[in-house]
Amino acid sequence: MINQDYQKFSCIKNLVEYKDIFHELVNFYGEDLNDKIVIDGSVYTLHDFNNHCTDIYKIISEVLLDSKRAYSDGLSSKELYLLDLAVLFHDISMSCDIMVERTNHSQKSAQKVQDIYDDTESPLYKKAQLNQNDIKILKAIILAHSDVKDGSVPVEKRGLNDPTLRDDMPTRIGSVRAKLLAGILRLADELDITSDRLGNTNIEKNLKSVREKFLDMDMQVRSKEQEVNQDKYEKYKKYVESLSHWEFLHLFSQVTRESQDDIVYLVTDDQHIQNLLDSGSTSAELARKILKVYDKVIKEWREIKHKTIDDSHQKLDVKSFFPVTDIRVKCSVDSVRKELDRQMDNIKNVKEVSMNQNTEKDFSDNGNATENKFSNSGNQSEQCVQLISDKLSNMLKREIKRRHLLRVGHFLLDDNFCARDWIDTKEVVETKVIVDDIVECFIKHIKDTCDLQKKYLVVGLDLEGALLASRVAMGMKMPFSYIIPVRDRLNSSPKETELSVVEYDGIILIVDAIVTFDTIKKALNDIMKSNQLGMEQMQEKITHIYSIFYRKNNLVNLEEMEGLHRKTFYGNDDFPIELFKKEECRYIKEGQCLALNSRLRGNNSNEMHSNI
Amino acid sequence: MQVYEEQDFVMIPLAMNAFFYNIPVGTDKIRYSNSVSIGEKFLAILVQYFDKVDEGKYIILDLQDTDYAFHLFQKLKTITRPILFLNIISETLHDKIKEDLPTIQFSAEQRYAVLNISFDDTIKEICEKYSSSVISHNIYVKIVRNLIDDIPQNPVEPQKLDSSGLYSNMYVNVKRLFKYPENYYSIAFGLAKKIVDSKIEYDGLISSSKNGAILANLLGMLLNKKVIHIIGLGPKYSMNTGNLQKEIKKRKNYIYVFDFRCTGTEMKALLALISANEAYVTGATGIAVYKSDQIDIVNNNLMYLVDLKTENIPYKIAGEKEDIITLMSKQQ
Amino acid sequence: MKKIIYINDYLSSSEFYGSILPEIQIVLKYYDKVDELIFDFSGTNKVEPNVIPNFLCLGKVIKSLLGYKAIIRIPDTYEGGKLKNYLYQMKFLGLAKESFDFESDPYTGFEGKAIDPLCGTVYFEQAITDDEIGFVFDNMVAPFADKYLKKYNELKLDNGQIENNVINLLKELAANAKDHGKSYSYASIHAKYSLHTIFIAISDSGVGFLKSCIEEHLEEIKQSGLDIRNEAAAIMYCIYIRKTSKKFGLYAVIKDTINSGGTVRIHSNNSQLIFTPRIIKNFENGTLLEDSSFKKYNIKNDLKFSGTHIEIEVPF
Repeated sequence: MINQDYQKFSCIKNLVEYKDIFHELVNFYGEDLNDKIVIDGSVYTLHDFNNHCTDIYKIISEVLLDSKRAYSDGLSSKELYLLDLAVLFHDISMSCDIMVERTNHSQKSAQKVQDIYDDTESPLYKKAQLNQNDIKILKAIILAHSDVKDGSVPVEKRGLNDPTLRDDMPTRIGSVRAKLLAGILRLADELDITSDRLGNTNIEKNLKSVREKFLDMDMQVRSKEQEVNQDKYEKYKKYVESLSHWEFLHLFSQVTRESQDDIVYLVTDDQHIQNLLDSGSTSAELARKILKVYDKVIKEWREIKHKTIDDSHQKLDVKSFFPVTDIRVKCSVDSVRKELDRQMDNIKNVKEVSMNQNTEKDFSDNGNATENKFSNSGNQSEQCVQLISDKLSNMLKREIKRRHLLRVGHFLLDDNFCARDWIDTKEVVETKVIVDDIVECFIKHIKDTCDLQKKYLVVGLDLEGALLASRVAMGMKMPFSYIIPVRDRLNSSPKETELSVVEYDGIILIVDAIVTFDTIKKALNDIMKSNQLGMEQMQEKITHIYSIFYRKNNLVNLEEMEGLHRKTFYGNDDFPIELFKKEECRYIKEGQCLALNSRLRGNNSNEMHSNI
Repeated sequence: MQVYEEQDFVMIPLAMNAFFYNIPVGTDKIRYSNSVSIGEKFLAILVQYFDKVDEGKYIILDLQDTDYAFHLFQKLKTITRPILFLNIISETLHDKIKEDLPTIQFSAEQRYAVLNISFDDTIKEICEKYSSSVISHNIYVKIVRNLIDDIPQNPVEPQKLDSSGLYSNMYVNVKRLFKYPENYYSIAFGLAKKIVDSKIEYDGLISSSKNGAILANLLGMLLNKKVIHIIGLGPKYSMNTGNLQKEIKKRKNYIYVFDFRCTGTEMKALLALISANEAYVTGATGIAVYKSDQIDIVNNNLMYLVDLKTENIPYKIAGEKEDIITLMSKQQ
Repeated sequence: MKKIIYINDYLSSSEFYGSILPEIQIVLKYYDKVDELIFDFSGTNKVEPNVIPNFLCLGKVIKSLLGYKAIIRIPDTYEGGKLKNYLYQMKFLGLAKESFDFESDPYTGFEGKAIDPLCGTVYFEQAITDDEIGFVFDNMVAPFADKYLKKYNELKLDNGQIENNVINLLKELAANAKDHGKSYSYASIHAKYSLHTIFIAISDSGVGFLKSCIEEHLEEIKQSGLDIRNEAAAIMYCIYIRKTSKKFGLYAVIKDTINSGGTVRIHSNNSQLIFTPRIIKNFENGTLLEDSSFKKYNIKNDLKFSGTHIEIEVPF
């Protein structure tokens, strides 16, 4: 029996001239879809009309399309008709027989539609008012609704990438945006995840008993105890596979779209979740399951958005009636929501979802999130050099003191200045516990503030910078290189000193300590010359400068730093440095400097080189 | 994806590649382990890669040092092209594959298997010829060849080697290696494997050049060992021994890490320094060497990935500039 | 025939009861066909601390029923290293040697963080004395309780001393296991900083609540006229009737746990009761068995795992 609820939804109500024909087709083919499969006296439906197709109509009408604009000047009547038909027929190959392989069911459904149309007695041929072109479009949409994974279709031609699926497929009157329709169907299909689809909860109990029977049968097969009905065995195997899928369906109660911001929310079934918590599941487990479903949905959404909305030359038009901006999860069970936040934080692959500090404590991903990140750093651009983390700062202070890494004496800083102390940064970089924390901190900061779609080069200045850069780059899977400071150039071969940066969008510079920015400026000038870049280009290329220590001093003014200081992030600034102008230095006796690190008299210093 | 291609086949060492793909972007600590697990993500990338390979070529998967969970390889059931599985060493892996791919055929010694094709003589020959180390070795050679810069030709300007004062006709630009993440991951993985497989006892890693220091740093992270960098060895520099007494611990064992060993001058200087501090160098490891048949103090424990001479890379050294130019013209 | 049981990527209590036990039941049914049983941890990243005593008991049961040790397979990979490190620090590896074989050396390739050394697992063999039980708890568990379990401290009126209810409960359970159940027991404790939760679990392969309850309190039960026919009823009896008792602190421990937002799971032979913060009111009133949702969600009657297994999870 076809449930007539589907007629309430706007995507059906607005069919206009095709309405009656459509109802006839539903009454005829919908019954096929509703054929129930009986396992051991129970009822089992997953791809039927009354639940699945009706849900998709609901999602299309209430969540995906704008009810005012979609039918008046959004989709044409032919497009709407074809979309509704695609929903009706997309799973027709799976409805009757659980044994159909999921990997190519879209192909089989498309073929079945052709077979039905080829039967000249069928209602689809006689009454649907469709010609061969229309059927071609319908088949293309059905084929694209699920990727064919059995190897017969190459990766670059699956799903929405199918070259036969275009946004201008011709019909008798005008053309049809088949790719867009396929995208809408795919998304609606993916979003049909709520317990609406389950129908009867007894099904689940029966599936559980089937699982036990299957385990038993499995043992029999393996021990070859008795002849087992091979068909039944395979069927049970498939049912058990669906069991885990059913578990996920229970977690969500509905899918909605808020009209004020056009964000789609997957709303969890809080009552059921609470029951699961009471029956012994942990919040971590449930959060994991919710995220698994959400992950799949958001990946699908991103792809669809990229291929159908962003790609289309009618982007603005499409967006007016397909206004979805983002997809998020809404969960009101405190402990599970906290776990969701925590697990989202831990997801290291930044290309997936990122945290959004919202009062509602729901989370999102998409261009908005990355925009937030950049606007944050934009705000900070007014400030000066920035501390990355208090925790790192305290740790560095503690370790420097504990290991006596601040050497006191008289040291050469650079051509213009002497200093009264210096930090043994080589030791810092060689000590595991310290460097592990520094690297962790730098990597986290890079993940939070860089646009990882761009190509970055991590560059370390001198040995300590190079060592840190290598660790950071390996963790971020980025290319890296190093610069030998100008004062050391005489001691290195020309091949070692060359550095080509033109092919990269951004440079992340890592140094051990910053005092006057002098060595950095000299190194950058050098790169500018060898890569033939202008000052502005160079400035733009350098996106971040990371330093372990930032040593405030009494003589050099930061405002002369040409904007570098705004991109500088450091770990600790608890060790200010006292500088002396070289010409006023008291430790020059008879024209020679008595600095501890002036090794080769009259030449450049630097084995125990000073901070930059 | 790191692969070794020949006319008829494409070889993919799974351990090396899985090591790279398994690590998510933004990991701050990466560790080397004896076997690498193949997860769903990597398998999906692998299957995607298959589609890019020419129809006529065999795909050969080297399973040395790998493992996987669950019924992962069932996903390979949908692949129709021929696949060879090499080096199925562990019994558990063997059982898992057998269960997941019922149509697979194993060789007599159960070490190799074929899918969608039958075991014929060509296949047997390939299986015998390509042990795991051979496949990885070919990839390292490919990486090193990419690093070699020829010297400028007009006028001919031989490369001066700072540490020994000699001249050469080519320059192994290890700095360039670091611009390709997949390459430096593979090299680091290869070196770590060499060190672990050699079973040398050591307490730390020591290096004396910039590139060597970077390699040692990465290896130190992978193997969780202390790293010491001694910079500035060679004729132009004088060594500052001030810090070293503190860093090089007495009676401890170290492995020396280099990027490219040409004459071994730097290594000899370092060995002397270590001995002077009453510590030991139990081995040396690096990307490439020129002539491995030199007799060193480290003797049998020289671990390298590529020997330029064996690979017929015409690297030459000489005492004077003019000698190199003469050698090069003789070659031509 | 070899039977491999694949463990999920997160081995939690509910996974143990929901997935592993049914598979074990099947193996036991076909005991004569199976000659090798492997627990495959290749895909496992984390093991919940409360599963550890259960797993150890399971190992012993399998060994005694099937006559051979089950095999644990943990791969020699980075993830495997992390898992082995955790199991080693929880002292599982040492205790598991008795009832499991390891396919590859479990002591190599450790990776990952250190846990508080106060955490771990203890084993009480059947022939142990009460004094020895007390000794173990005072030395191993008391420092842990001092650091993490202050909320369970209570001033005992009979001896004027401050005692810790959890320690007393664990002592009692361990003693019960050996006296009534004639069985060994395992107890695990772990304070997990990443989840801010303390996990305490104790397992034995004894006779369960019903039998031991009836044995010990036969007269009282007869007098009260209560009908105690199944494990669930026996558990409830033990909780309530000893509410004010000086020794058996199940009521106090459950009350303190759920008041702090934690959970207590009590499994006895084939029944499991789960106490969560949601049922606080009914718990204190003693009207749990009249609450239909408690019976529906918090009592499970079809999980066969002989012995008594109690798990406590509480935030700190």
